[in-house]
Amino acid sequence: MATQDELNKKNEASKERQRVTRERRAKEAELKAFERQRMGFRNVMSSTKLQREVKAEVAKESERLGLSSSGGDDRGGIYDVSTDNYSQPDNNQVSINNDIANPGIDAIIGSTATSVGGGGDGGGIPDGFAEETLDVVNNDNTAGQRVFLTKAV
Amino acid sequence: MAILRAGPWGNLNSTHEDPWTDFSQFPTHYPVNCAKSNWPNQDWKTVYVLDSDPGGNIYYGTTSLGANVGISGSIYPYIQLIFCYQATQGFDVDFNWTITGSNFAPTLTWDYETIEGDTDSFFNTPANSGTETISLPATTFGFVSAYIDAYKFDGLGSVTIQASWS
Repeated sequence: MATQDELNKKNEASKERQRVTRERRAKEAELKAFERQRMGFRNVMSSTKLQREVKAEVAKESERLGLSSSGGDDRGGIYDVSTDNYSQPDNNQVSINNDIANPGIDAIIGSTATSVGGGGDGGGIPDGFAEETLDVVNNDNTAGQRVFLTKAV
Repeated sequence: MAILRAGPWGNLNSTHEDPWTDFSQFPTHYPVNCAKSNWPNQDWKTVYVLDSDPGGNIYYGTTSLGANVGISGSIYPYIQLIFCYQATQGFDVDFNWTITGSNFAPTLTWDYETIEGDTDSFFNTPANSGTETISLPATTFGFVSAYIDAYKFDGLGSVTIQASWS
């Protein structure tokens, strides 16, 4: 069970967090007001260059107020009550584990990718079979060759 | 779909035979060609039969696509060209002939048959030279033969026939 001292410390920490949050929100409101004021001219601004200038001004003001573009270091973070720390979550994973649209290299689980039917640990040509190159008539009536796996019966 | 090669020689009753080697007698099986193409290890070829006259000289052998063979006779010379083939799609082959001499009457015939049962034939009393185009069907194994002769009805001098596939 926590002692009075520990409770007091936690209360102080909590008050400090609330103060920081209040300050940050005030800065954000100030920045929003600044942005609204600058962007109020947007309707009469046809030049992309001018719009970019306003955005740059807003970014500068944000920097002056100590706000990052994402809205503060702890915004969207995860608060760990045991350590009293905020941390940003890891970026979303982008890999074949999350999205089938991402390319991946299939791995065959097992000792060999080419062994078929009882070949076991050898790989290559299945047991009892041999490669033979045989002539064929191709679809365009020309002569071609194919490699067959053959086995005497 | 590709067709597995038969041959190298054969006939409709036996599609896998060794090449014929004894050309002192009439061959009973023939080179199996890949339509009008060469196989990797066997050029396109046809068996020829050249007969000068009844009771006269008769010659057997093979020749290639586009090559002429010829024979002369004073009564009834003829040339027959025979080959087998495999084809994934139908194709045309030309039988060409030229007959030189006088007082003769030529006849021309051709026929084909496939192992699937397609068959066709033709008979004509042709001009002294010409080309007959034969449209052959796709088949896993087919047999083709063309024949040209010249019956010399005056018994004087000789007549010469030349023929080829192209």
